[in-house]
Amino acid sequence: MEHSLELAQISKAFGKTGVLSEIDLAVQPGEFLSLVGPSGCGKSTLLRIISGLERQDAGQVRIAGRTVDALSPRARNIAMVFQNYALYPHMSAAENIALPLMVDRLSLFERLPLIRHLSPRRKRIEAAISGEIGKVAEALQIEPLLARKPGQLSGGQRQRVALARAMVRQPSLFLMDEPLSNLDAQLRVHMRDELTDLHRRLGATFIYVTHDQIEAMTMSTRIAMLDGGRLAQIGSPADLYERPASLTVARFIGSPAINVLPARLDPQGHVILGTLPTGLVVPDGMAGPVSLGLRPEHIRLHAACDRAMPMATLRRSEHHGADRLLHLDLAEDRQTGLIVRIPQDETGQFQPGETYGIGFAPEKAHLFDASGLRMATRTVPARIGAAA
Amino acid sequence: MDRRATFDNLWLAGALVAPQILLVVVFFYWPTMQALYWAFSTQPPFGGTNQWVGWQNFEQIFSDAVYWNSVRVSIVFAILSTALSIGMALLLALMIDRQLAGHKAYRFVYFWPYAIAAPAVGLAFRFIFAPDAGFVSAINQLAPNLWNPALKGWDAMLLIVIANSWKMMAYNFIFFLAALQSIPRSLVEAAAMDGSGVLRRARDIQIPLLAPTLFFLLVINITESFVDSFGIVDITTGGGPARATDLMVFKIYSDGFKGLDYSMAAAQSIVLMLLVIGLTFVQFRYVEKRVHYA
Ligand SMILES: Nc1ncnc2c1ncn2[C@@H]1O[C@H](COP(=O)(O)OP(=O)(O)OP(=O)(O)O)[C@@H](O)[C@H]1O
Ligand SMILES: [Mg+2]
Repeated sequence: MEHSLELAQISKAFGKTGVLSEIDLAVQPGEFLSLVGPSGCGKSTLLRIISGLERQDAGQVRIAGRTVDALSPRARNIAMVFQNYALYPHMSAAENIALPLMVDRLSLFERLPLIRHLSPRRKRIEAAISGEIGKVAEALQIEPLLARKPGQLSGGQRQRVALARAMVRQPSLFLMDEPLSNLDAQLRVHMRDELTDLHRRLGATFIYVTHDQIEAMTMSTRIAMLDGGRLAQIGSPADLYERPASLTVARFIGSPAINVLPARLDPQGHVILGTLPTGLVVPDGMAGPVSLGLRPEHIRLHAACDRAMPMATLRRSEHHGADRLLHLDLAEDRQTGLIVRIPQDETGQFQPGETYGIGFAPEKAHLFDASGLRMATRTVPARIGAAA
Repeated sequence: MDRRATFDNLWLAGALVAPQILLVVVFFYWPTMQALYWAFSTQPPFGGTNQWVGWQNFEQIFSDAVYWNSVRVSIVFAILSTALSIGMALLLALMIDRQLAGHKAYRFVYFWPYAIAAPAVGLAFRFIFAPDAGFVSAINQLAPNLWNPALKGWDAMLLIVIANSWKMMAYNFIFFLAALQSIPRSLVEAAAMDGSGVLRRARDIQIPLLAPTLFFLLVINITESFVDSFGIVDITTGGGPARATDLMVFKIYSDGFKGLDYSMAAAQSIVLMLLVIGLTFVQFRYVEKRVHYA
């Protein structure tokens, strides 16, 4: 099957500052792909290159198997929802939604005052258009709002009108640039559901830019993470969470963020945390500093003071509904903070100010080399000090 | 919530506003009062103080076909030069706003004409459009006197319309460009995504959003073409040929300072003032209602 969208070796620089370098990406029809990454990493730029609003310096964009580099935005037949919605302030919601169809089906003369009455087919086309607007409006439940101007709509309503305007042309590819970032937290959760639902109903391909990892994790079929203008990793939400390809990805995905502890490799390739072996081995690793990543839910605290464990002091405990987050400070001279997630019913055992031993299952740990790239590890049976 | 600054010392406050008041009184109210006085009086033929004559001066100008001609000519001039200058300025601003190559240079260049005094503009256009030696004289090779503002009324009208629009265009251009650049880029981009080409983007998005600016410029341009076109007419056509470019403001000058009939000139200038006030009122009252201030 043809890819819905293919990017090949896309590079872009603004003046001397390189923004994107050699991005390769292939999106299947019907996918919901999220583009994530820290602010300024080039997400919007990539979206604008796909849409044709910006021209890449090198590389190719193919949409539905067709190279579109020479095509203007209008010829690419894709729809885009802008971060600020970009609704036309002087037109009603209905007129906003109608514009793409009007432009598509009526000539400039058929839209001029007076002259338009000369066209025999205008009435028929306009009737068809308003029928389609009605359908889209019904799907998004904005019928009562159609007569209003954007200035008279709330943020969520504007968002829906913008979506309707994108949907009405039935494009095969939807681009969205942080469409939920202007909404309050509750509405955002609600619209997240609606968008996922919409995606399922339309069966169209969505490319969705966000810097909110929760949005990306909950809505996408796949996530592509950009970092420093490069594609750091692409995969399913579970892939990125469970096998982050780099420290940046590991830190970006997951809330609260992954704990990163400085560790080192001994000459035999054993991962040493402080002075204690962790049970992790890098088969042919070079001795030197590495980083050990531990998700908050993968750390176990042990009340028994076993000297073969790294120790940490409980500073603060936070109620997060079903879970509780424990903030600890690693003992010894290291000032590293540590966050541990535990189910609410286990909290009784832990008291602020007390010191606990840190344990984790080595197969749940992530190891990154000095440049931040993931290292392949295996576990050795003798888990000295690292009880599961 | 009275946030105005107030002065306890009225003398100081008075002293601070005095220069401004003085300027306005000396250069605006006093001449206006003088004009009013002249308009309702007349000078005895053999000297002496003015005699009060009531509406007689006005009756005389309104029964004069030459005066009505100048009203007609002025209206034609105002409509043509406003349409031309606003249309051209809008076109140029839309093109500059698209950041075509060299847009930064054009932005400066287009504003310069406004910095040139009207008589200088007139002089330049007189040379350019001279039927015997100017650039445009080339078309006279097709047929003799195809273009001759010294003989043909409409040629002369066209000449002053072009000269005046050329100057006003610069002013309009700056306002249009500023307004265009304040339209969020994403709106224009959204329209591009929605399938609009350059023309439709201008028609559907940019021009409607420019409506407040357009309205403002309409008022300014019409007013200017009524009251501020003297310099160009004086240098290029002198009101001719056969009064084809005898604008109201030029007729005031020629009646007053050439014909030395101050009373008639004053009466005409009162009429012109009322006309401009009336036009401005009408525009604000009726046209502004159709403008969306986004
Ligand atoms: N027109 C432009 N001219 C110059 N630099 C630009 C331009 N547009 C973007 N940039 C730069 O390119 C980089 C990437 O910008 P981009 O808008 O793609 O970031 P982003 O990932 O969308 O960030 P955010 O999450 O904050 O929206 C930034 O450093 C930005 O300053
Ligand atoms: Mg962005």
